[in-house]
Amino acid sequence: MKILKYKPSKTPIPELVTLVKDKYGDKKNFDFFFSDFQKAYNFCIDNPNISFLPFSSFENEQLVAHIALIIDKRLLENEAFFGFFEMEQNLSVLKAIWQSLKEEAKKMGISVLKGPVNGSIWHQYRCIKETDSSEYFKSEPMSESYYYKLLTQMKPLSEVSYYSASREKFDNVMEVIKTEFRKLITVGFQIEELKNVSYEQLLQIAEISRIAFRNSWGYTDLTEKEFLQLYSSDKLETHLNKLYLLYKDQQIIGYCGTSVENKQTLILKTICILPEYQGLGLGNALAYKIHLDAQKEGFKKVIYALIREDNKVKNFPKDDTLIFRRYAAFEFKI
Amino acid sequence: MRNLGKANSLSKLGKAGFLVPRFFVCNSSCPEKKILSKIEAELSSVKFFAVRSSAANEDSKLKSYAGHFYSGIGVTNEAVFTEVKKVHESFGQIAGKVIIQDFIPSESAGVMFTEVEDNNIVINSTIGLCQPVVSGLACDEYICNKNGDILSKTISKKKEIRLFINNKIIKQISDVESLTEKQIKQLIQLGKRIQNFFGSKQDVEWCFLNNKLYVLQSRPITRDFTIFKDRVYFDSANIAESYSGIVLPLTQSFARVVYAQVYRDLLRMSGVFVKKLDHHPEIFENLLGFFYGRMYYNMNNWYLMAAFIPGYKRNKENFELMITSNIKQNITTSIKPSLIFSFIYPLIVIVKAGIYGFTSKYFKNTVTKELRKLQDQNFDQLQYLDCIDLFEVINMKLLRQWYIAVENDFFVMTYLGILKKLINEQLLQKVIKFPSKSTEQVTELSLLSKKMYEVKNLWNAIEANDVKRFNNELPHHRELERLLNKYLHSFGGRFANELKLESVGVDEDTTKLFSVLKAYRNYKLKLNVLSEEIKLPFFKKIIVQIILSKFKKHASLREEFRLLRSNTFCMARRLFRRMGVILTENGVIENADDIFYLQMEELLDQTALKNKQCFSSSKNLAKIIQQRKKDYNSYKSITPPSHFATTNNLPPSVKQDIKFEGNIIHASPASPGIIKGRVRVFKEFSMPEKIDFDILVTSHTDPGWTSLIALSKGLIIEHGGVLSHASIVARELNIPAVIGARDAMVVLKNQQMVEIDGSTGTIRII
Repeated sequence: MKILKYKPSKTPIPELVTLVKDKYGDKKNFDFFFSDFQKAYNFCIDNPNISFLPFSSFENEQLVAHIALIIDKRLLENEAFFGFFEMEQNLSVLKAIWQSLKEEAKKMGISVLKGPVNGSIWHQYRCIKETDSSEYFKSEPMSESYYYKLLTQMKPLSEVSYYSASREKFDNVMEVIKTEFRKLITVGFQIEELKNVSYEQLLQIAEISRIAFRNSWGYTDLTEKEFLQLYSSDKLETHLNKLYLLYKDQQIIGYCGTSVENKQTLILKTICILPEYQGLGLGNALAYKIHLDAQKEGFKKVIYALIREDNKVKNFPKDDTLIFRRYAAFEFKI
Repeated sequence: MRNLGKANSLSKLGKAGFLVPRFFVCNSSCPEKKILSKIEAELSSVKFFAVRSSAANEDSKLKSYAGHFYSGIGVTNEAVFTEVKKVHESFGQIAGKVIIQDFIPSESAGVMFTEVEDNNIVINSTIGLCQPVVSGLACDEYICNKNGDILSKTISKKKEIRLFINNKIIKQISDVESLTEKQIKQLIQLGKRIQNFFGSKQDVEWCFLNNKLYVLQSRPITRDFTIFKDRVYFDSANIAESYSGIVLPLTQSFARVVYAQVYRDLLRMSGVFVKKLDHHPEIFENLLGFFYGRMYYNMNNWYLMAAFIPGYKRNKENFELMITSNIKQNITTSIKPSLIFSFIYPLIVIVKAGIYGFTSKYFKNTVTKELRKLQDQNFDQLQYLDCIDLFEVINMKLLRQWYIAVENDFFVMTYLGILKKLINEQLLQKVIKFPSKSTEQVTELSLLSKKMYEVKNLWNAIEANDVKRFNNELPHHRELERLLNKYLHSFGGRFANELKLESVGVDEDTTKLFSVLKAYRNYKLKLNVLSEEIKLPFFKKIIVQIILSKFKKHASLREEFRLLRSNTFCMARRLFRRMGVILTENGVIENADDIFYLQMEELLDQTALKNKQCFSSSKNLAKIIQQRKKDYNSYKSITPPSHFATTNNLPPSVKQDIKFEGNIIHASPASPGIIKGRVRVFKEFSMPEKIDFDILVTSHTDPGWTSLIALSKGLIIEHGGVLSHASIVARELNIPAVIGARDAMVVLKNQQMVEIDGSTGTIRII
C-alpha cells in the first residue's frame, strides 16, 4: 500500500472519478450527485480561503482510498474539514491513510477534524449511517454505508446526526398545523411563492441564511461570489420547483424551497426562519402552505430532506413519517 | 588584512547586502592609539561599541567556539582598549583577531538555527540585548517550518533580560513575548536567505531595532541536533482514577517513593541484577510526574523500565494496557537485558507462574496479619520518633511486599491481551464479569441500613447527623454494633479518593457513613444475571474458557489486593495524622491537617520537631506550608490536559474551552445494556441527599465510589478502560456503562436526558 499526498490539479484525478463512478454510477440521480461533486471540488481548488491537501492510497495501482484535508480560513483556527472520502471496505487501509491525514493536519496546527465535508456544508457532506436501500433523491449525498462504521473505528469525539423522511398522507399533519397558517395571516405575515428569483432577493436570502445558520455545525461564511456560484438565479430555476418567501412588513424573514423529484414526489428542502421569529409557528405555517400546494398539484409524497436530528424544529408533527435514511458527520480530536 | 572566522562571514554578509552593523578588525596586540584612530576613521559617529572575538576557524563548518571567548558590549570609546585586551586574553593559545563593531541597543534579539530536523527553523529570542540567549538563560522558543507556520512556541514567563538604558546595561525580569508574528516571518525569510547564501545550515545571531533586522553573526551549525529528541510524554491514564484532581504534596511524595520501590523490587525479583538497577535510579524515582498538583505517569520511564526485561514490545504493551495509557510512543534506549538473562527469563516466569498460588497466599496472609496488628495499635500514644520508626515498619512489612500484587497485574493483562485476540469486544464485555467485592459491600450496606432503620432512636440520630447521640445509642444494640464493625473492618478503607492521604474516611468522619446509610434505605440489589453462554467453535471455546477462568481468578485477586492496599494506606494516613498532631502541639505547624502540604522527606526528618526555631525558609515547615497552600490554591482553577508531551519538564499548556456540537458522543463500551435517563455530573464524590438522577457522569472513579455507582442506573466515565474500577463494578451489578467519554463532564449538564448504549459505547443526547 502506498499513500501519496498529491498536488491537486484543476479536476479530480481520473482514478477518483473512476472510483466514484464504480461505486455510485448505477444509482438513481448519479449525474446530479456527480455534478455537485465536481462543483465542490472546484470550490476547494480555486479558493484563496482554502488550502486543499488530498491523499490517495494505491494498491496494485488501484486507488483503494482517498481523503482530503480542507483547511478553510473561515473555520476556527484549529479546525479543518476532511472530505472527498471514498474507499474500499478495509479498516487497515483507512488506518494508514487516516494516520497520514492526521499527521499533516497536526503539522498545520489543526486539532479538530470535521467531516466528511466536501468543501463546506453548503456542498455535499455527511455519510450514510442507516438506510432502507430506497433510491437516492436529487441532491442527496451518496456514500457507502460502511463508511460510518469505519469512521467510528477512528474514535470520533462526537457525531452530528441527520435523517431524511417521507410522508404520503398529508391530511393529518395539515389538520394539526392549519391553525398556525390561519394565525399567520391575521398577525401581519405574508407568504409569497416564486418561480423566478431576482438578484436582490437572492442576496436577501443569502443574508437570512447567514444569520440563521451561522451557529450550525461546520458553518462557514460564503463570499458573495461563492454564494452566487452555488445559487445563481439560473441554477435555482433548473433545480427549484418553487421558492416560498415569508414576509413581515415587506422584509423577508424566512424562506423555504421545494424541488421536484418526480411527478409523484416533492422534496422539501431547507426551511429557514430568522432567529427572532422562531418559535412562533411560522415554520409550520410555511409547511402548511407547501403541503397544500403539493396536494393541489397532485404530489403523492413529500420528502423532508437531510434534517438535523436535534434541530430547532420542535413542533412539526412527526406522525405518519417514515425515516428512510440516517446520516452522520463526525468531529475528531486529534 | 585577511579576516578570520566570524569577521570573514560578517564581511561576506555585508557585501551581499545583509544588514550588518559596521565593524573593523584589528590584531589583538594592536596598540590603543592605532585602535582609536581606526575608530575615528571607520566608526566615527558611533558612541558605543561591541568588542568580539574572531579566532581562526572559530566558526567554520568543522568547529565552533560559540561562547568560548570573551565579548564586551555597550563599550565606550575609552574602554575599548581594555575590552580588546580581555578578548585577547580569552584566546589563550589560539590565534585570533578582535572585531570592533557598532553596538546595537536592540529591542529584541536572539539566535536562529536555519535548519534543524525535517526542515524546521528554531528561534530563541528575548527582549532587549542578545546576551541572555547566548549565555543560555531562559528565553522564548519558536519552532517554525519554512512556510512560516509556527509549529510550537514556548514563552518563558521569567526571562532575565538586559536592556541598554541611559548608557548602561540593566537587568530586568520580563514575561512579555519577545517577537511578533511579523518579526518571526521576517526572521524566517532572513534564515532562508542566509542559508542559501552560505550553502549550509547556519546559526545566526540577530537583533531588531527600529523595525530593522540586523545580523550580528552567522556561523555554520557544527553539530546536528534534534529538537524533539528530549520530549517526555506524560499521561494521567488510570493514575487519575486513584488520585483524581489535585493531590497534595504528602500523597505525591509518598506515591513517588512507593512506585519507585515497588517497580524496582518487581524487576529485581524478576531476575534483573541490582547493580544494573542501581545504574538508573532516576528511572524509578521519576515514574510519576506532577504538574499543577496533578499526577501523571512519566511514560518515557515506564518504557525504559520495560526494556530491562526480555520482550520489550510485549512488556511495553502490557504496561500500556495496565495503566490504560492514551500515549503510545516509541523511545530509544540503550538498556537491554543480557543474553544469559534473556535465555533464563522464560524459566523464571514459568516458575513464578507455577508457584504464584503460594506467593499470593503468602502475600495476603502477611499483609492481613500486619494490618490487624496496626489496626490494634494505639496511634495516639506515639511520640514523633516512634512514628518515624513505625513508618519504617509499614514500609518494610507492607509496602515492600507490593511487587507481588503487581506481578498479579501482569497475569491479568496477559490473559486479557489473549482474550482480546480471541474474541470480539462485545462478547468480551459480556463474559468478563467477575466478583470484585462490590456486591458484598453493597449487600452489607443495604442490610446495615435496613437494620438501623428498624431501631428508631438510632435512625433519628442518623437523620439528624448527630454523631454523639448515635455513639451513645449504638452500644445498646450489640448485634448492630457487630455488623457495623464488621463492615468497617472490611470496607473502612474503602471511600472515594481513598489513596489520597489527605482524604477523610468513613472511619474518621461518621457523618459520611450516615449519608451512605440514608442513601441505602430503599436500595434493592439487582439480581445478577449469569455470564452468557459463549458461542464459538468447540476447540476455540475450550481455550477461551480456560483463559477466561485464569483471567477471572487473577482479576478478582487484583480487586482483593486493591482493598488491602486501601487499608494499608489507611494506616499510613493514621500515622501521618498523628505526626501532624504532634507537630501542632509543639507549635511547629498551625493545623494538624497542614502536614499534607509537606513532602514525606520533610516529615520523616528527625529534626522536624525542632524546626520551630528555624528561620531559614528551606527548613521552616510553617513557611513552606504557607507557600504551598498558595500554589495549590491557584491550581484549582486550572484544567490541565490528560496527556501531553513536554521538554525540560515545562508544564503543559492549559486546556482551551471545549466547544461541543453534535448529539452523539462516542466513547468505549464498558458494561452492556441500554439505559435512557437524566444525568448528574459529579465533579467529585459526594453522597447526595436524594437520588434524583439516573446516570452518573464523572471523570474517574475509584473503589470508594462503589456505594454511589450501585445507586445509579447508568454510568458515563471520562477516563479509563475495561479494567477500571467503574467498569468492573458496573458489569458486576449489571449497570450499563460507557467509559473514555472525553469532555463528558463539560458537555453534559445536570438533568439532561441521554441514552447510553453500553455495548457500543455511544451516548445519545436526547
